[in-house]
Amino acid sequence: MALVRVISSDGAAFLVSQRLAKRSGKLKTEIETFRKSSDNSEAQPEIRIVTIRAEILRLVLQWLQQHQNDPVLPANQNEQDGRGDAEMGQSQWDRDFLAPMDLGIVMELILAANHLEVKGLLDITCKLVESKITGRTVDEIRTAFKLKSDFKGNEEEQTRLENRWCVEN
Amino acid sequence: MARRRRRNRRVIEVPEGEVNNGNGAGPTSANDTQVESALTLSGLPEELLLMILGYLEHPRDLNACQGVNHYWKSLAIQVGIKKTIALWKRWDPSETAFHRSLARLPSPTLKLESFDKTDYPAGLKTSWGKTSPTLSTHSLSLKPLGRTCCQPEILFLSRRTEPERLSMRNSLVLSSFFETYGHHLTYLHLFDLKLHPQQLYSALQKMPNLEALTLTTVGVGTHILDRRYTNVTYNYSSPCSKLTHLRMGNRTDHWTLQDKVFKWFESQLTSLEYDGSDYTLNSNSWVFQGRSNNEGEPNINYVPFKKVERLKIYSDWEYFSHDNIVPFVAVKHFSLLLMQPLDYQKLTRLLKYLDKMAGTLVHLHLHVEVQYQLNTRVPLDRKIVVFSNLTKFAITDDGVSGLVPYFLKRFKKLEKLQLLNNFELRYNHDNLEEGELIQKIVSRFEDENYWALCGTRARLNSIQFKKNQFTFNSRVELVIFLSIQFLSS
Repeated sequence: MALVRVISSDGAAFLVSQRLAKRSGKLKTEIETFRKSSDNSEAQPEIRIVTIRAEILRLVLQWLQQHQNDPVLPANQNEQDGRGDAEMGQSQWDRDFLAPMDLGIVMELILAANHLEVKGLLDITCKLVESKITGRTVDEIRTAFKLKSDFKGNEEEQTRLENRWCVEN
Repeated sequence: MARRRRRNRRVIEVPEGEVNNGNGAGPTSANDTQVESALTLSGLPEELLLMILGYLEHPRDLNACQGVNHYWKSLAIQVGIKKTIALWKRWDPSETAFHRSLARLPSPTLKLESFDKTDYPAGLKTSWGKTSPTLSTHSLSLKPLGRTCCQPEILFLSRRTEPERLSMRNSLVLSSFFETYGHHLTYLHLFDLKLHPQQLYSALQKMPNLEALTLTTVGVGTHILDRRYTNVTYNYSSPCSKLTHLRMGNRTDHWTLQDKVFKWFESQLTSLEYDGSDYTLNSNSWVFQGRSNNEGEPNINYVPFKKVERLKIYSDWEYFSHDNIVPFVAVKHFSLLLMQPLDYQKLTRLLKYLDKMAGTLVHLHLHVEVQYQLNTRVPLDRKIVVFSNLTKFAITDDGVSGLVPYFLKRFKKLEKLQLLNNFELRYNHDNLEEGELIQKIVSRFEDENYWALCGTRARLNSIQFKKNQFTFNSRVELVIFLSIQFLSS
């Protein structure tokens, strides 16, 4: 079985099958680049991911392992309206996988999935964050995501008034 | 140092299909491994935040995001615009422009606002200084429009039930609204209005960000004769440079509106839908006719819609009654729905016209009927023009399927063929086993020299054909949409 060594930013190495690694667009490209540049076809590729720490990389690989037999989603599917396809692929396993995570971990997973080009994981993590916005008031959103208002004077009230005409009661 | 580095490098031997959870029982969550992170939403790049907000379906949530801070406001507005235009770009060739326009009317969940209530934009309220500027006229309503989004970028303007044309007072209201609010708009739908072209031109000039425009049942009314407008010299330069999508619904006045709107935008449109089903308005002329030079000969240098890639035309046969139809030199997706059956001559005109698009067409959708079976009379021996890029082809099966061999000779790269009509297959479902039903359907097509491979479900809505009497490229997928009616016993 062909293997590839994936090394996180803090030096932890994960030995995974190339078939699994190629589910990630980034790893697939790196493996192919290694193959082209290496004289030894038996040599084991080693890929260093300098932006993802071990714990997050472990979660990404675990998700990939669970979904290794899923069809690969096209990278730009449904891009026209700016969202992905989370509804299409979220399973009970995904929900169990994401449920205990705090928001910070989810953010890191989003960054990792984006960097490694794992579209399915990116979709479900973005959808999870979206679900924490849906139905909330402005103040609740600020509190949930630790955001501060930079509106001055009556700007906030003006924004609210601008939108009032197209919001249902 | 080296020893410490070795300790940190945890190498996990992973056989295929297993990463790290030795027990293999369910997911290892972040909590299981005591992972923590201080990263917040602010740490994500803009593209990812846009993706997250793109999932928000309800305008209420996008509006809430606008109230968080300046950055989030700009993100939410971007998402609103993207969603709005996405509704335009979805390509469903079988929809007519008119029905599509109607489908975009506000969904029941949205509150319908009008000028005779107080919830209009604050700026307009201030500019008029009254709480209800149109209380006395009731002739103009503003409605948010859209399936998933009713951001201010989408505006639906409609006259209400009064038959009178817009009064001067309402024109001023309209003008005032656009003055205050026009720069927000990216999509404007005018429905059942009477406007002078000059009014429309002036209004559009106040919408520098407009990307899509729909006109449905827009007339000019009697005030076309108003002295104020008779001496207006029209400026054919575009009133809004970003507009790339135009949908011209039916019953929109041809002479004074359509013609001018096309001329304003003909050099910048990328997507054009034209519903000419109300042919009584257009029977004497055709908006897509080419221009003639001084000697009365066609001006072949006139190429007006040189950027249009998506073209949809719903019309009567008059479309092909003129030789001098302007070419659409860049069209990739073309949908033609003709209301009247074609005879041999008109069909020949149609085929010649299609040949002009051979170099660019990727997707062709023909919803046409013929007056009789043309299988034997189609000019199959015409010069073969190869459509080098065409991969998708849809055609009504009724009668016109006799043309398929004609097209297949030309569509060398065809990947998907759809036959569009509905078959009336009436079977008594209770007395028919699933296998029998499928067998009957298959035999139906075998009668026509098809060889069908059916699915296993009785309630079929499609049948995949592997091959039929035509010689297919091996990549071709033929899909036939069936409508099966079950009779209860």
